[in-house]
Formats: sequence, structure tokens, C-alpha cells
Amino acid sequence: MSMPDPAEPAPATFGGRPRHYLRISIGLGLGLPAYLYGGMVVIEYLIRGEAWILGWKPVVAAIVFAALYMRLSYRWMMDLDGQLGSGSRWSLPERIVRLPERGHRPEV
Amino acid sequence: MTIESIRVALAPWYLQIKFVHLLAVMVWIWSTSVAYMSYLVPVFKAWRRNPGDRGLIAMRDWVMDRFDEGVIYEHVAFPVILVTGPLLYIAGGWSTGAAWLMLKLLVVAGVMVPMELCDYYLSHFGGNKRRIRGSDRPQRHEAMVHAHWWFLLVTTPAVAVFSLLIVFLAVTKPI
Repeated sequence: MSMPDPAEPAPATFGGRPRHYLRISIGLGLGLPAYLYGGMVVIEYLIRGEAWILGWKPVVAAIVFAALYMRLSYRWMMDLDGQLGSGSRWSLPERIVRLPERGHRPEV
Repeated sequence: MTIESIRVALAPWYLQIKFVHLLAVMVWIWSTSVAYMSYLVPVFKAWRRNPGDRGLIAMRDWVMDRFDEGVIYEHVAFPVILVTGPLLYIAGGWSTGAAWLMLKLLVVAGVMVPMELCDYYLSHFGGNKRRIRGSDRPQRHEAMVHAHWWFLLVTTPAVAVFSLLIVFLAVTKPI
């Protein structure tokens, strides 16, 4: 693992926390199916006069989708952000890596 | 020129337009998947676990720059989809009677277009990390890396779910 250089300012901390991911997942899990179902109601029922969209099957499908999306989204965000697991299997031995782009090379 | 005359002109080219549309959809959905899953995410996970590690920050910045470049394929394909989609709608004589198509269009217009607009900004315009680093604004660079990571965290589940839904609806036409 590299040691921080005291001469450089500490990088800003990323603000994402599990509670944020939970709120976002609940918000999108409710908002996206509501938007899609609402849009279909407008197109099918209000514009075309088709009542099938008001039946129990589309409503149940939207509710199931919402529940699954909330769980999937929260677990996925937590996993992507390294929040799940202890991380103990990760090792960070320091290596010298030469990156190809000039902009990434340290000043000498 | 009426819609009907456009339809008559385009109808003989329906399958050719569909070919271009499907090709663009494939590029749009899959072109960044390996870079994202196998390169960007592992480095960002390691950075999130060790946010002060300078070596990881350098690797994170390099991966992010490469990803900003690689996503160009996706961002060329997306406008092609947006152009060929309406052409197919007209050429095929589709209408609001196809519920599967209406649901698909709702997903594209309300989920994918806003998402891609954010992605264009973060990858190529004001949020392009390579350009910001070149202008020597480290705080702005760090803020944009964070913003892009926020974007990827929030949109990854949505992209996976709704991309599959779009293809499923187009292939099976279930409603």
C-alpha cells in the first residue's frame, strides 16, 4: 500500500453511505414503476380507452417489480461500492506500474 | 410531406433500418461491459476500501480516463438508436396499439435518455476527467470522479434491468 505524501492535500472523501444507497433504491424502486405504470395508464386507458391496464395483473406486476428492484438495487450498490464483505481477502502489495498516458506519469 | 408519404418511402428499407438499429443496440448495451466489470469496478472497490492510497488513486484516475474514452462507442450508438427507432416506427406502420412498444418507448424516453445525457456530460463535456486534470484543477477533478462514481452506482442496476427489459419487449412482444 502506498504511503500518503504529507505535502499533498488529502483527497476529498466520497460521500456515499449505505443509508444513501437504501434511500436511492427505495426512491427509484417506487418512482420507476410508478412512472412506467402511470405512463401506460395514460397511453392505454386515457388515450386508447383500453381498460386492461387497470386490471390486477399489471398492478401486481408493477408492485413485484418495485419490490425486486429495491432489493436488487440496494444489494448491487453496496457490492459495487465495496461495502459488502470484510475485504480481508484483498491484499494491496505495492508495485511499480508504468501507465502509458503521459498525463498519469508522476513528475520527475 | 406527410407521415404516410414518409412511410411509403421508408417501407422498402425496413429490414435494412432494423439491421442498423439492432447493431447499434448491441453496441450500446455491451460495448463497455467488460471494461466496467473487470477493470473499473475492481479498482473503484479497492479505492473505496482504501481512499487515501495514492497508488490506488493513480490507478483509479487512469482507469476512469480509459473508461471515458471507451464509452465513446456507446455514445455514438445511442443517437443511431434514437434516429433509427422512429424511422422503424414510421416505416413499419406501428401505432400506440402495440403496448409492448409503448412500454419500451417509455423506458427509453424516461429512463435511458436522461441517463445518457448525464453520461455524455460526465464522460465527454464538463465532466471529462482527462481535460480537467490537464487544466490543473485537482479539486474539480476529484469532484467529477466522485460524481461519475455516484452516477455509475445509481445507474448500474437500472441499466441492467431496463436494457434487458427493452430487448425482452422487442423480441417477445408480450403485450
